[in-house]
Amino acid sequence: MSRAEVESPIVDPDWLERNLDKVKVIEVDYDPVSAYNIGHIPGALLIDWKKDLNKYPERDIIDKDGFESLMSRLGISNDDLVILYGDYNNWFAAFAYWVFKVYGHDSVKILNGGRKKWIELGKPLTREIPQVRSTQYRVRKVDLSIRASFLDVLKNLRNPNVALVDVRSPAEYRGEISAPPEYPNEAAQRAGHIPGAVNIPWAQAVREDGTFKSPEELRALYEGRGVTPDKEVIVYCRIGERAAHTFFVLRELLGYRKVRLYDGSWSEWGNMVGAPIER
Amino acid sequence: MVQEHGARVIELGDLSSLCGTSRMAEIRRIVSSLKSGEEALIVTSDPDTWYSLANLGEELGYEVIESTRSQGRYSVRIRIK
Repeated sequence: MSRAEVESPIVDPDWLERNLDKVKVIEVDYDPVSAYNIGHIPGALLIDWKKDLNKYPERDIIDKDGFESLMSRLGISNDDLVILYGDYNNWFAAFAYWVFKVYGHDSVKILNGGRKKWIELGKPLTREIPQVRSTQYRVRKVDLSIRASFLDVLKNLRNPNVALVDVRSPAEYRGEISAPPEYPNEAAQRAGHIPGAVNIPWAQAVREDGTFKSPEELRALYEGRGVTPDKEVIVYCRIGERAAHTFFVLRELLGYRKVRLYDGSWSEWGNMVGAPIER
Repeated sequence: MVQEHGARVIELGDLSSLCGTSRMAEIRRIVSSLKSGEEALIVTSDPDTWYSLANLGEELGYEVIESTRSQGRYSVRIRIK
């Protein structure tokens, strides 16, 4: 890889097609039935977002042991370069990327444009499931500095040095709905936004084909709304996956040094007794 | 009702901002609104949704007659089994 390719957090479809034998590709799906199962990038493994990245019975991301088990089952080694991609403009791939970073697997990138761009370009897809040999993956470090809790957000309300970014749709931000009708299980008791949050919907960071906008366009988008690199930024949505997309944009593409994902997001805040709300 | 070559035309739009369960649900909803033997031309601007439509016939009970793409318009002609 060239130096630029090594340093970039994204890879483009042409590069990936030429280098499929040199990396570990993982598709991250919300619903594999309508995605991975009917066709995926040759050699790609599957992470089922619901089953594999979420802990049960409590609501949380998988813990360290869970991440080690997942990586071992997928045949991933600590030194593997992992390329993540998925549908829905890489929402869930971005969430997986964040989980990888939490558990210290830094050699990870995202396929620009995800499934959408790959299919648009007519690149090969297969239903063949790759054979893998399990590994003994061990987490070397855990980085919780990129995760924000309810209390982290609460104590930083109105802090001028912290920018709170709500990446949901304007209707959710304004409190007209707490979740779109197609997500009935994610509706909160209350609708609105966290006081002081600015609304910059995640979709403003991508083009129609699902690829990320240029750094110049992205800088103008966020800095124009007061989300500047000198601030600490906390991003949220409803359950954390769209916010992970913006986390990736700010921290990985624009190089913001302090970005945290509040993965509890509105499904937590909007259900919390006493949590302040603005509309 | 818009028709094209005898098939009902259904504009599906871009479902890439809905979660996977919703995309399946939306496709299933459309299929269940059609009668046995009826043909429909489903059109979308999202290549991923198009790929799903063209490959979920077995699961959702329809036959794919034709699948085409041209300048950002993706369409699948189906016949309900």
